[in-house]
Amino acid sequence: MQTVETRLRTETITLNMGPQHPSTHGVFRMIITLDGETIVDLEPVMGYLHRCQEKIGERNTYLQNIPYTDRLDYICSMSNNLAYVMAVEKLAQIEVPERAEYIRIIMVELTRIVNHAVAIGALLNDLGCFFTPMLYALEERERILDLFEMASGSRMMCNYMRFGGVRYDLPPGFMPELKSVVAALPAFIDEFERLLTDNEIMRIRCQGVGILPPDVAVGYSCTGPLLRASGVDYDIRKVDSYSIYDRFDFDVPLGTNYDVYDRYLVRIEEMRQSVRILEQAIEQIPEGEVSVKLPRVFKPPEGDVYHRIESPKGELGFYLVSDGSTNPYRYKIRSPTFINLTVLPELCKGHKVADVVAILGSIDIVLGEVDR
Amino acid sequence: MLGLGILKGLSVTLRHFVETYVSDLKRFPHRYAPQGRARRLRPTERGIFTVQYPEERLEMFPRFRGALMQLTNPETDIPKCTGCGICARFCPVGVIEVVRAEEKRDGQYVPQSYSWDLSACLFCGLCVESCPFGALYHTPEYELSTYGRQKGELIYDLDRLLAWGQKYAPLGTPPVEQEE
Ligand code: SF4
Ligand code: SF4
Repeated sequence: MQTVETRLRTETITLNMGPQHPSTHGVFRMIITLDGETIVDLEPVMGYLHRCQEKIGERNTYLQNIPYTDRLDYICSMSNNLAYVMAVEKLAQIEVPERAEYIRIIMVELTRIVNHAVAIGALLNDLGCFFTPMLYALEERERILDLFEMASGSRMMCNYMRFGGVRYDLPPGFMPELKSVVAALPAFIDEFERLLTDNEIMRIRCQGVGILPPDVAVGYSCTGPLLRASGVDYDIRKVDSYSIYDRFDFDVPLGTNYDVYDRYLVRIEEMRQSVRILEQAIEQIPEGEVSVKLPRVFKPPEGDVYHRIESPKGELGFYLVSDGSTNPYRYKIRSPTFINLTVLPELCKGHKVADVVAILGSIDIVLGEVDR
Repeated sequence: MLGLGILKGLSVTLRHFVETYVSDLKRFPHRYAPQGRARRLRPTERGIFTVQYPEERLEMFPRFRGALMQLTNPETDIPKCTGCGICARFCPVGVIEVVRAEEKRDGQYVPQSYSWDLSACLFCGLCVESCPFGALYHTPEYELSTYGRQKGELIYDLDRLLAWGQKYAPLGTPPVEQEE
């Protein structure tokens, strides 16, 4: 084999993958330079879904931006809401009632389960295991989305958080429903694991593929499950605790081999930890107010603020500059997937074409957030 | 042993497959009978839980954000809306247009025209949230496709919104009313 390769002088070819490719999770293009089947270089091309979110954000009032944050990462609208709302609260120094904090945590952790279930389902879809794991994941997601719809009025574009609380209190019948969904979740995760974790085909496709060493991950500012699968113990819920996360007892799973398979395992384990947080939150949630009264025309004081949360995909931050008027002067979104995606060429070099989809799936991107 | 993991995974899919039929046979009436639907939606239920959409429809939750409606004041029979335009100012995409009529009717301002452009609406609910007169609400209506985008199709005027209101007002509009 070696001799053939050295004797034959081959040229590299350039291959376009996307922008319309089933495994790019949206409109995303990769320009791949190939030597035979091996990837020499990869250039991600983003921006097909650019919607001027940041510029629109400067035109909108503070309140009007909340529905727009839903549309960043449309799988986790609740955690996008939370990040933005907390940034404004930090700017205007608004106190949030206790009950609202708990409602927020419940919603955000449910979102994390939804996101990881969908991420794993989509990863398996990309690997060629069409729709069976995806549909099992979606079945569970459907029940959680029903909860969101019950509380906020919409399945995906929730628009539920407000400055100083949440839009409405939980409806009657929400808590029993939540409890039964949370009680059913561990069985669902177990089944998911039985289906996939030991599966030899999946292991062969995922183990040793797309290895991201910790120093490279930190160098590229990766966050979220991608970083933790590289063995770096960095979870913003722990290291820069916000809201009331310090009251809950949960672990941060870490990877040991830094490959695609580890990212899968980390996501599974994070779902279990989210269930733990949910169980504690259901137990502790107090009665009381869910929002504070704000003036109809809301003007925060002058200044700037950055607030970040651990969204299911990584560090989601909002940087706001206020000039004391009704709209933000500057509205900047630090989206986790955009920054996680920059490490893609590094991960893919030296692998085969078929591995690109696995690696891309394991990064877990949503183009709505990458391009904004 | 190589292949054991695959077999384990296949047992899961096989169980799902068998459950689809068995859990249906075990319990009469049929899953798709009207009485079977409540059972299908329970989280503990195994097997298929899809809703056969055009034949069956899910009931929307009371807070569901569907198409907008304008309420009529039952005592005076004129629209509750005063044409103040606050909803239009709160709308992030500006799809509401309101013009207030010059004269009052029965001592109340009324809108001369009101239009809501469904084609760009985010269904965010900020308009409903902002209306100080409790005139604007969501209906549970979600089948809103049309063949065109002109007035009378995707652009709703006051009369159509009031007609929705006549249809859905008796059902009550719980969430916002409680708070305001
Ligand atoms: S739901 Fe939102 S986008 Fe639609 S009309 Fe109301 S405020 Fe505007
Ligand atoms: S619907 Fe409400 S907010 Fe809009 S113009 Fe009428 S009264 Fe004013």
